[in-house]
Amino acid sequence: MKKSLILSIFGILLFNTPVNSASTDGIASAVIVEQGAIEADIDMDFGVIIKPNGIKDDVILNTSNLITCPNSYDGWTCSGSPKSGKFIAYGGNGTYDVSYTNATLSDGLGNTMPLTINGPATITITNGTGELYVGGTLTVGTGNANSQQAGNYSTSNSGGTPYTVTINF
Amino acid sequence: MNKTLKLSMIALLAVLSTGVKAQTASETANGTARVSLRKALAIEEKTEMDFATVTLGTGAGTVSVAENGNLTPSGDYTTAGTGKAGEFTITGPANQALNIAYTNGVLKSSAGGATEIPVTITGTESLTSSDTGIADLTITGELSFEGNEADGDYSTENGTPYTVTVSY
Repeated sequence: MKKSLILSIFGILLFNTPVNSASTDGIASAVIVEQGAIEADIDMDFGVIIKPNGIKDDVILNTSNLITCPNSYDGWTCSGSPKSGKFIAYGGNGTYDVSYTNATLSDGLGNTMPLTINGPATITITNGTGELYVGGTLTVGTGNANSQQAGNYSTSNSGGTPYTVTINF
Repeated sequence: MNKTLKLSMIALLAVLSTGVKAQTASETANGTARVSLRKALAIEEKTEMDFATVTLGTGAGTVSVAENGNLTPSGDYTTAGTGKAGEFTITGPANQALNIAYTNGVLKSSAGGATEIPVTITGTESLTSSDTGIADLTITGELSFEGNEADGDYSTENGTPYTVTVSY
């Protein structure tokens, strides 16, 4: 009885001992996308606009700090140092879609004017960063005499709303 | 079986490395925009200055018109009719301090000729516009005569108008 048991154990060991072996490297993969971010760098600034009474028109600021003033013979004057809005994006290299929402400028006293944003539809990020310049069309006046009060208008004044720039990373 | 599995994984990696980005998130930033808006100044004549009818006296003399239209002749000069001060309406920024400057004018006869009657303009040099950006301006003036002018209808329209310049 005792001898039989020993033999059985030995037999099991014998059969489980590998006679040869094989191995391979396992492959694991992952796609890593860097966290994207965007921050405002330069505020959009239309400078100083002088408008005639009773006339409504658009003042256009492109993405290169260039302003287009309505007809000067109507009394429109645009001066100062206009600036396009500038944003800096951070993320993985590539080209991403950009979208915008429009804004409202307010003098903080209940007078407002709409701003329609225009800018590139995509941004290319290289070496982790990319720049985005944004312009806009400011509609000044409502066509009625004295309808648009003079003042310092901003999206950050009470009654104003900022525009937004969204990048889809 | 083992070889087939490896090939599939390589193909998957190839697809993932071709630049197709996974849409993982969007990031939004607020932008600030600003403008300093000013209204263009405009000035419009509402009432023409009028010295009515002047009868010359002896020698040189003057006739002035007050804001209420009253005519005041000097010496033995006389006037008839209703005088009027010049009235202007200024439109522009609300509650804006305004600077006003004048130049004098010259009246000449509608019949022609070289005779000139100078008009000296007087008015306030500062005003503040109303809450609606309007300011009314009244101008007074004084005519200076030599005393030998020919009869006729004299006006700055035939000579040189006086000017009113508003700035801020």
